[in-house]
Amino acid sequence: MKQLIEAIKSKVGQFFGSRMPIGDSVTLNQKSIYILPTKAGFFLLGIVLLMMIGATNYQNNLAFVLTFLLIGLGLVTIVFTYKNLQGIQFSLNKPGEVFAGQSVPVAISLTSKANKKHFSIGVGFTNQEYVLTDVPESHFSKVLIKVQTAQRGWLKLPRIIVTSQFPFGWLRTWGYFGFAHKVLVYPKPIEPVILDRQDHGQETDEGQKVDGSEDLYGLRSYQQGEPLTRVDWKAYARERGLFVREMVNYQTSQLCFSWHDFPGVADETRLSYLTYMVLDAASQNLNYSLELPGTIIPYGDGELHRNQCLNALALYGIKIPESDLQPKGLAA
Amino acid sequence: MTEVISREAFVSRPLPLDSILLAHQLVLLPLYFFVPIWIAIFNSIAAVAVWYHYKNPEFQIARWLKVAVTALAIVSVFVAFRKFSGRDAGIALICAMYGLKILEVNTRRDANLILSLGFFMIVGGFLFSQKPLIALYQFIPVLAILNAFLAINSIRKFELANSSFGGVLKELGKYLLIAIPIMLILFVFFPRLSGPLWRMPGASTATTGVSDTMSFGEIISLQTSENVAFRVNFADLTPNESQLYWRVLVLDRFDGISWYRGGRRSIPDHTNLDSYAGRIDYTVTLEPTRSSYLVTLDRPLTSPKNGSLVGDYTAYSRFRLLDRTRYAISSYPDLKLALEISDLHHKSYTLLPSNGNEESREWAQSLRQSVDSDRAFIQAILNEINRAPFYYTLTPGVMEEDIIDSFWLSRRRGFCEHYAGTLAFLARAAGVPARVVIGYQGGEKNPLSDYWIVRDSNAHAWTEIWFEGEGWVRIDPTAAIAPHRIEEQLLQEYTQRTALFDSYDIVDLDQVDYVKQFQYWLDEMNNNWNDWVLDYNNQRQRQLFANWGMERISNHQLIIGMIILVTLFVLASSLKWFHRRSKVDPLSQAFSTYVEKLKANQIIDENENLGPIELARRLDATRNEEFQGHITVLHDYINFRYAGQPYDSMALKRLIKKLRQLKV
Repeated sequence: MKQLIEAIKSKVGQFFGSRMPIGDSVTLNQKSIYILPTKAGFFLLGIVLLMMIGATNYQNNLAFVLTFLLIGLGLVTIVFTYKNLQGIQFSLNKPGEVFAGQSVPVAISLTSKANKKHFSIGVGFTNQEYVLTDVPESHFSKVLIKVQTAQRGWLKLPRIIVTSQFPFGWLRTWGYFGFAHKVLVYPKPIEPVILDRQDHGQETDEGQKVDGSEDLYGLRSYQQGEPLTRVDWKAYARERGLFVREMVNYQTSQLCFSWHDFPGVADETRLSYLTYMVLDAASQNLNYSLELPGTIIPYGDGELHRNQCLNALALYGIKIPESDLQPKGLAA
Repeated sequence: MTEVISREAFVSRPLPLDSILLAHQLVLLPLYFFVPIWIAIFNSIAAVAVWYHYKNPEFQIARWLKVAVTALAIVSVFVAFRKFSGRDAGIALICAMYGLKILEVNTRRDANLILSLGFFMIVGGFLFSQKPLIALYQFIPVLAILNAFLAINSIRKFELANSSFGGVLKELGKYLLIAIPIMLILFVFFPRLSGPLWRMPGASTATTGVSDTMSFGEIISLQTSENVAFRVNFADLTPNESQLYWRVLVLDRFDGISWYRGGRRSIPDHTNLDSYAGRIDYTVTLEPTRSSYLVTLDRPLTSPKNGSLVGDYTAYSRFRLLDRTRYAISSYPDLKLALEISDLHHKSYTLLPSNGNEESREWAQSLRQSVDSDRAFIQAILNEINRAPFYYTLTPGVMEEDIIDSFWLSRRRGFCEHYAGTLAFLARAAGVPARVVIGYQGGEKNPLSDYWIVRDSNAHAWTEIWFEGEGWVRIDPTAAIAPHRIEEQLLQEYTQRTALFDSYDIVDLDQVDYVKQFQYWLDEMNNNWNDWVLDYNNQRQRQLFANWGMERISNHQLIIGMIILVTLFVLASSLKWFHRRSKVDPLSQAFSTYVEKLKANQIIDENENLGPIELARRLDATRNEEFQGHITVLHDYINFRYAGQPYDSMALKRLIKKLRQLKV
């Protein structure tokens, strides 16, 4: 029974979703907006019927007048509620880096295409959880909704529901759209605990690593917009929050991170360890290489190199569709 | 920056109790005139307490107190009325309950309930009074309720329109602009149940003299009244007393019970009438009738000033006659009119309900077949009236379901209206165009002066039959009754009459001054209100559509027409211009134009939505000397927009100019 309901729900969802526009900057069109009365709307409808009966019974023409006025208002409200949702352009502000298990903050800008105000527009992934905002006439408003990630790889953003009950709450209008953009989720960085210092990678020039260099400069809170390369991932993995290492100079050691460093460890965990190590090395601006079965990324440093490594880790063992082969664009 | 709020926070935020309270009190206000005063006091105290709680959230109204007050109110209503049923007790009870409900408005559900029920409460008020002013007032609570709904569903209060209540009203006005025409369409078209066909008019519509419907028994009530209906001065030619048929109105529709007037089509005055002989000039001084019908001698071809002539040769004035009114008019009793009538008219003057009174129909049809002309047919009916035991009586007794059958074939006792109505029916049944005229017959000469007096007791109904080549001919079937069968009581001489003019003024119809006109206009409004709003029933609905040339419109067609028109209006409300903002901030406009320019030159990406800060940073990053000027202007823009500087219209203009002049 429960399955049946679920099946019907998904079918209904598909029907509603089938006409939704998809892109990175979408505007809901007439075909993809739906409208139905709310509970309050049905209640008012009941009251109107009651008034109609009363008016007929008492042959009271003013009661008819008021009833008809309400019917008129109800009909006009359909149009206004509908129009309130129409003509808003939703643009995705591409999310930054995200690691499995984290939630992706999806920032969406709402702009009015007709230079008119839109009120109480709800944007979210479900009917129950959304955020509301007004769209100004000639500027944009921005909402942030979060998607929980479970695993690494390409994440297709779930379809987004836009909904509004403005102006009177008698009618709920809603529409769906999807963003074409896919988010690449990196593996969750996990500090390789079982390693002792000797086994820590294959440091080619072990002696050069200066112990306690972190202590010298300390950490400060991560500011939005800062390059993620300097984040202290160790602290992050211990769930202490995002911190940035402040360092003046970096050791120029050469590290080689390899799939084979962790014999007997599950694949995903290996990827997590490697991710951790790549992040750690990148945050110290070290020179490192990455070796995965079938992929070898030679020594290098800098943001591009780091992203290359992370992409390889995220997509390890995942077939990449042709269309997604172009390099992943990062948020500007 | 615009506010963003999560659904949970939006739903659980405090209600805009001020807007709700305002709507609630405005709904209740008119009801306070009709319910015991203590209910108003109870409710007002509750409202004040809620208001105080709203302003000082630490002040709580104890739950037991709310329950106790409500219980007390219910008991008090019962004590006062000894019942809960009936209009007064019922309204008092729901007024108290609704008034105290404001104590328990905590959730959005409560708020929706109290606001929606507000509409219902307004209807409650209409049970007591339907005055135009009350009806007009009701728009205020309706707007207040809408405003409260709006406040509940807006993120920020009054965000809708420039943060003012007036702005909100203006916005809601847009809704009303479309809703009111829809309301009117529904009101006119929505098929009304045919209640009692003859409704007693309200006190303010009561008229003396004739009314525009004639069911059997109507004129009898006039006949017994000795009131003066009007007085007449003849200029030179005084017609024979038997020619004194005073027309008031022509009834050309029969619904099986009553004869009534269909449409009223005004016609222009006839011209070039001087050549006709037999013109009678006279002046009528009509007693106030509170209706607009004018009395004319059979038949007028011109109308007096401030009056109009109708196609059936009756006349009416532009306003209801509230005062004793005088007008001069001419009539042409012998002129043959309407020698030709159109097929459509022919059809409408032979129209009868599709069933009922079958025996009389058959009687008429077989009689018509046995004679060779319409004239002979009518004459045969008149002979029948004279020959058969038809009585003229004030007490015709109760007629059975098929009134004509009952009168014509069995009872044979009736009054002028029975005879006139029946003759018209029989003529129509045989396909001869016929109609009923009601008005007055005869009059008496004032022996002291040279005017004639016509009284209510002269009220009369007769028939007009259309004969080919002769036009409409007056046939008075009552005159055919054998004199010995007229009830004696009616032959008694009129009692002593007070024929002299009273002392009050006479208004000349062609010299109505502006003050009087305004007075008439006000009265007209009130009368129309009564006629077309309060008394708009099945019959009036038919009459209205008949006036528009749709004489046989069915409920079915009414509903279709209604749906089509309403749909058109709803579509109109979805037109673009209706949703366009009239005022676009010129500064924002200038900024977006500038951004568009950048996009057009591919300096920034087409799909990007950049604020001015981000934009300045981006331009800076290009390290292009060209853009340094832009960045300065953008910084000015940012400062003006977001730094909270006091508004300066000169600075604004300068800034707009600078933004527009930026070259990309």
